[in-house]
Amino acid sequence: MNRLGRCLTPVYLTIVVLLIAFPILYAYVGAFRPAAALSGGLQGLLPTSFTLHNFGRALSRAPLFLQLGNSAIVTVAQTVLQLLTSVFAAYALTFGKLRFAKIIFGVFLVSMMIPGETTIIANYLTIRSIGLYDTLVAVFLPFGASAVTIFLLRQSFASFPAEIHEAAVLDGVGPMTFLWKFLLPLSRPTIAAAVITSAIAAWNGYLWPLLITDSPDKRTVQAGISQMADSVGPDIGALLAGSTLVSIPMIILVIIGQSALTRGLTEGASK
Amino acid sequence: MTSSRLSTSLTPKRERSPRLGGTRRKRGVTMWASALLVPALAFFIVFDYYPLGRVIALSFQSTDLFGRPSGFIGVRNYVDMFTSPEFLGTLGTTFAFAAGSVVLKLLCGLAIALPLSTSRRAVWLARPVVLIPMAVSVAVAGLVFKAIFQPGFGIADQLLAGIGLPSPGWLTNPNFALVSVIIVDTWVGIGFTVLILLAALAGVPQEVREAAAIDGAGAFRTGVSVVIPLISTSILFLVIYHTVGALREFTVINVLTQGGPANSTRTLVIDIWNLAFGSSGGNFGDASARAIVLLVIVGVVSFIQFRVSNRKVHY
Repeated sequence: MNRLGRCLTPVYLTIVVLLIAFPILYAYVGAFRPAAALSGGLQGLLPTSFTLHNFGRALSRAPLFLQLGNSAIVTVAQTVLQLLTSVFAAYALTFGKLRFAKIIFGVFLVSMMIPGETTIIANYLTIRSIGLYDTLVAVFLPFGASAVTIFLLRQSFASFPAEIHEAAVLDGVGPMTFLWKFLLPLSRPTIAAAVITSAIAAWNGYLWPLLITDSPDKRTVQAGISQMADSVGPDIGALLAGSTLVSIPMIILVIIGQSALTRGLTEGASK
Repeated sequence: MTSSRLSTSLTPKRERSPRLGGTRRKRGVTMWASALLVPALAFFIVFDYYPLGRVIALSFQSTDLFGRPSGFIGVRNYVDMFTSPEFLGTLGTTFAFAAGSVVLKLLCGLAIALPLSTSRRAVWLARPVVLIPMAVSVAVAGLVFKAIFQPGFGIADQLLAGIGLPSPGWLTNPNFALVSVIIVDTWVGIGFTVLILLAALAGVPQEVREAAAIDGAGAFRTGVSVVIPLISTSILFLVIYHTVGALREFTVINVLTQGGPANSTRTLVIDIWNLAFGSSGGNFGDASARAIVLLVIVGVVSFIQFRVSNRKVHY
């Protein structure tokens, strides 16, 4: 029984992996198959002939390359802005010796309890009234600060040895020099984790970009592709081609980031 | 700005203390620290706290045809909402979606993570399981499943027809669409679930499993009665995390069904979206009242998390 179990577990797990990978494999193979073959069941996926027509039809409905660029701009801007405001806030809270540090940290944490879906109505009205509707700035501006990132960074900063900080201050190291030269380099694993989670969240943003942009050339790619899907209707080939195109940058990022992430994790573990 | 003025004006005693060198530095500390807090505070006030207040205010107002607030009407939006059978249906759908998606994610997560953690030969399979769903954006995942679920000529219906089964009408049958949406949401969340469970399982000592095996417990029995209780903290975290996530889910449902067919997948967030921004939108008063209900429900779940995580969960 036990030996049987040991043989069956890898088989079972391989089936599980295939099931989980199936939608993506289907999308990647189907994107290159002629439209007629796609309605022919599994044998329609056999790679007998390839075509790029699906991509042409997808791109004729939405400027996906431009929208990929928009998403890249939004992702970088949102991640950098979040990281800056969070590093500053976490640093002030841990090393600033502020009397109100706990109250302000509480203000940050309580904001996590306010769902973004609750405040969209008011934020939509705010963005409209300051004339930023249908701009890329409007897509990332409301996410300029992140309570989760502040929380993570504060925990990492708090574990910094107090003696080193005191020694640096006695040697006349200014607060900003201490932040850039001592604290940040030693918090690299946490910063890397914060960057990756912020960037993934920014890239995946859907509800807000869909609401706050309107013209196709201002859409991020997530909002843009769902509109493309609405306009192509039941054209499976175009749907799969668009999905393939849009998913590639993130797949590359995760493959690259995965090694950086595991390195960061093992570094943290060996300390 | 306010915070910097506040904190400096509240430290005069230290400034007058006899150790002059130390006091100057301390005053400097409070100054720059307060300044560094300003950007983050400003963002939270402008885009979290102020809009919260504005939505609360809007929820007590009626809205005219142009989407402008037209006078306070007390709790009428709330009374209308809770006496409307459609809204009660929406609440039911919201809870059904959340419960279904949390249960399915955890069952699948455990069914994948438990054998992965025991089989040394299969451990490399963990990577694709975790990374594939995490690398694909929710909108793209929804679209691919929309293609898979196309009625008649989509691959899901074709495979069923191949083995002689009728199509359940994945996204077109009002009695089945919610199940399809839950399946897709589970696929989207399975990577994170397995990642957290594997991390927790790595902390379970090998001796515990061996002791259970010596006592005659099979692999399944060891997993259910010995290992799962030991990782109950992580399981509880996942339950809360996924519950809040499901209550707030928009992307999966918007891409796949937009709340249809026959409102069978219309959750609270979809309802808010339709009322405020849908084709007949601009009804900010009613949408705001629902937004406050969402706030309260998410708040209650978070409060439960706070209470429970302060208690010792296992042994």
